[in-house]
Amino acid sequence: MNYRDAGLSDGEYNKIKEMLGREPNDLETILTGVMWSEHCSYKSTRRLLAKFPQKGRYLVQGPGENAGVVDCHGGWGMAFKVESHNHPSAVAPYQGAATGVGGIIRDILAMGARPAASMDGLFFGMPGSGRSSALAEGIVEGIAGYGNAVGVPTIGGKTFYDPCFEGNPLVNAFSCGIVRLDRIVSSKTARVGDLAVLLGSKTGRDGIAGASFASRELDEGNRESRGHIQIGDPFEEKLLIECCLDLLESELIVSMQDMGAAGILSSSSEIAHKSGVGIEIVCERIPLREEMEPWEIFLSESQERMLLIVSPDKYEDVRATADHYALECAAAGSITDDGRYRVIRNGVTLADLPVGILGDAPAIDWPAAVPADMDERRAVPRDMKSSDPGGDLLKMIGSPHGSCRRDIWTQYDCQVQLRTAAEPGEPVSALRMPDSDSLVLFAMEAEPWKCRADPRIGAMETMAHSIRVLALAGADVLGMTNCLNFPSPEHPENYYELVQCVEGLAAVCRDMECPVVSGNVSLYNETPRGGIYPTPLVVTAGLVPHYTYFVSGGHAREGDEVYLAGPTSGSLGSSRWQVLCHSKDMRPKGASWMYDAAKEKDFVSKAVLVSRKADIKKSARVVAGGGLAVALAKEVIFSGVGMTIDIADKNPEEVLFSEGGPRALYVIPPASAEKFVSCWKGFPVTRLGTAGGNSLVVKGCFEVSRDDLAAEFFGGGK
Amino acid sequence: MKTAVVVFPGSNCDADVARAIADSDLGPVEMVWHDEGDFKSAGGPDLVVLPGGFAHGDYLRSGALAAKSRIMKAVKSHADGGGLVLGICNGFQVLTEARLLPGALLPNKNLRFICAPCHVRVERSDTPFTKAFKEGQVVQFPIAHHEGLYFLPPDELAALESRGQVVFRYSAPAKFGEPADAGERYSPNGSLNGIAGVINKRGNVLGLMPHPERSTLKNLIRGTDGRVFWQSLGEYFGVWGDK
Amino acid sequence: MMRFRVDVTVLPKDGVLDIQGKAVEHTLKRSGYSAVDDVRVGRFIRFSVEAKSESAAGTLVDSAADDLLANGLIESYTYKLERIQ
Repeated sequence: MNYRDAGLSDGEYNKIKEMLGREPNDLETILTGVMWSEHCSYKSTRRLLAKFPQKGRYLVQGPGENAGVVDCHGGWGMAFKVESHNHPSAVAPYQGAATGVGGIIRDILAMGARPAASMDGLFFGMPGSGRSSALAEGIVEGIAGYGNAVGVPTIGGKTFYDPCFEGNPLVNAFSCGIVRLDRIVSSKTARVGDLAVLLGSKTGRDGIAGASFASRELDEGNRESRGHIQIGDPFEEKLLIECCLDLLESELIVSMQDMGAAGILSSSSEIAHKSGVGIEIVCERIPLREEMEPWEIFLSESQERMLLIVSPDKYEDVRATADHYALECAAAGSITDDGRYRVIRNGVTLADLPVGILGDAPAIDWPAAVPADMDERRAVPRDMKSSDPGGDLLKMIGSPHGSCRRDIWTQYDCQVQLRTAAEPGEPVSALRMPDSDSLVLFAMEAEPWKCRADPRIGAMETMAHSIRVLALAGADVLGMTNCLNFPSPEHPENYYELVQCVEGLAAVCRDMECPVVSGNVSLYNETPRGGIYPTPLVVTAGLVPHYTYFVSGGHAREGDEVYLAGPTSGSLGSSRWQVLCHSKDMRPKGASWMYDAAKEKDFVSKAVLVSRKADIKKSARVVAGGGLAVALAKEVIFSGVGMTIDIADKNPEEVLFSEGGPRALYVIPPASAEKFVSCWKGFPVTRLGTAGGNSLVVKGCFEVSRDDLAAEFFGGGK
Repeated sequence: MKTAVVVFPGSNCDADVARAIADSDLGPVEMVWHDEGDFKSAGGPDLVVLPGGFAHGDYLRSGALAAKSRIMKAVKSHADGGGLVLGICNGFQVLTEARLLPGALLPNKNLRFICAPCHVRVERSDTPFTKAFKEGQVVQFPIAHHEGLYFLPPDELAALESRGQVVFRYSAPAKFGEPADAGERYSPNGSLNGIAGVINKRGNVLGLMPHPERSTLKNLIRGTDGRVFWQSLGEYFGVWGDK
Repeated sequence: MMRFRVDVTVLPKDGVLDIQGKAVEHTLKRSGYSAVDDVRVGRFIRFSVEAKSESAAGTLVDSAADDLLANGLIESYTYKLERIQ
């Protein structure tokens, strides 16, 4: 066979020959080709990702394992990770999204953690355009169908709409799990003589070569792609979760690994490579659904399978536990001492490679070039004016970007396991930790418009925003996971954007002492119509030491005072208002708020300070999409009370609609006002007005009734 | 008071129910795997709970495969002897499939899974499960299901109503000093007559779609109205009087 | 002994709300299939069975259907037997 069909370049093939000291046979070529694919090897981004800071007060496990882990006190850790399932979801929305949820849950499980919650970042084309609505519906149903049945609550997420995602929707599946810190599973612990045991579903032809398939650009209408799609069975996964946790509790297994991209091949070679040993897999011992060629067996992405590393004297007990859960279980191979990856069938060795070949694909640095129109993208249009600010506000909160996504999240079980402490749809998601009063919070953020306009500044704003949201809610930052969704890195302008985004995220993480604990990269997000906007998605975790410190919005009462903490305006560049109300073609234009580390740190420490003051009653939300106007509107809607605001002679568009920067809206009872203001000493805080009545009034600018706001918010976006 | 919670493969509210019962100080809870022939606790449990979830993946029909489990024989004989059986959500579906309760649960009217807080009116306060409520009281219990539309043919439905077997009915929110309206127009799932929970003729087997255990623990979302539900059972068995 | 292939079709009974059927019918009509009517959505189950005779196989299928495959309160079923080797 031709090595190019295995996805290998001339240079890569020569490298393999050199490392092997001979020509690889067909099976070896295929196995190496898949492991060296972008999807499995991160060859285009590995060096780039090294820029992410991996140090932090709470960090327990950084990148390199199935998921990162942070310390949440009391001996408990939180494992978390986000992973894309973009391409499969574009081809088969229900199954693509469902198996995305299932896959990330197994990553968490592989750390020894009980999967405790999921979230999803969804990026769709505009509703009603092309297949966008059908894709969105299928994807949401897939998440619901799998997540609900598997018994892991979906507690929040993010939904974003832009024409650039038409035909290439993004599904970024996040999951987290609770683990005893002394029970974290490592993939470095396999010992010579241990058995490699397959647990869960039988292996079939589904998802074959999905790994390399995800590394190619989407060819619209390519019906053949359908053959690659995996089918998920949440029932099997639920049993797999309970069985694996049971095996760990009984100390019957040495290690485990989930089978994701490139199934048996990837999981078994990784564990051998990381443990510094060899592994031998015997084809005929693998339970199959149908007759398959060796290369198909090793590449199959059949779902709901785990690879266990088991000491031979424990194997019978492992089998008995698997039987209890009615799961298939087979010792398919063993750990060897010679550092080789061997595939054997009927006593014949079919492949014999050093495990290092599979584990260490050569990195690629693509050339980067500043996009020709970068200056134009960055320039904020001058003198943007609104002829009807009240109308613009209604338009924004009635748009798919601003309106309530209840139609989506009521389809998700958000409560099972009884830890959920914030309603879906809140700016942060919250989980109660076991045997403790603390809360772990998650903020999922992405700003494709701002990253398009200026990738570095946009990424900085994305990351800073996630930290502001956590600080406002009362949390110390634990760590971050991210999913980098980009078009092909082979185009220098795209690669430039990728580099800029990574550097932007990394800079903020360093400043804010937020370690990057795990992550995933999805490249080649393109259709013949073009690439997606650069879309780094982050999920930042934080710890609130006591649930009474948790600050949220929607508690304003008649007579309360309304404050803005932070500068009175951010940037109108690529703001929701600019894109939805000002531009004619829904194009983002102009760089967002210029990140300022000192100001961000100041905001964070003061917001956390406010949260700790039990004697300051407060209702608060960060100023974000749609600016102060949308923040005010949401406070009015959720609190059920109007507000009257005076912005004096300031530019109304700047004050009301600009975004970005460390800014938050606080509504405070008069009795707490003085204490509140003193917490912000040395940081700008402005009294804007008072709560009361039934309308949102911005003096001299507009008045909109609460009922009209609520009607748009709850009824819009359809 | 001793409780047995049955765990079917695919159950996912088993641990939640056990936590709600523990939080209500109702005594020991035994988890029983579907494959067992009988309950372990000496003298048998006082209450058997069939929890929510997706037993056997909800494949074929919700509850149909679980109704054939080995443990269901023991559940039936427990019920035949007058013991209390509670089915929540998927557990309710199992009870109808096992013919321990009348009716069937069809897919929600909007054909979607619905997870939401929900108002229900307590129609009877003379059952062991509801004695701490006031008749006509409106409480908020969350729902989370895909098949919750309670169905019976018209004549059987009328008979069920006339025998007073409807214990919970979807309703309007409580209004101070006024009886709350309830019925089909408040069914989030299209349930006939707004039926959210039914009891058998004998009054010892209750099934309901809403999850009282999801509004029991404090400082989580969706309230604590469910505490009164567990309190009813505690009062019935005189749990706290013993202390 | 003889072997039969059994095809069981389970449908919602007349008078039972068939929301899926209604939804499919609605979408079909909206997509221009205005002549379509009375859509019902059910289940199709196929298995093979060994029995002494066709009527013995039928008795077995009836029993399995009553017992598990269909819920008699809301569903009715029909089946076809075909002898196989």
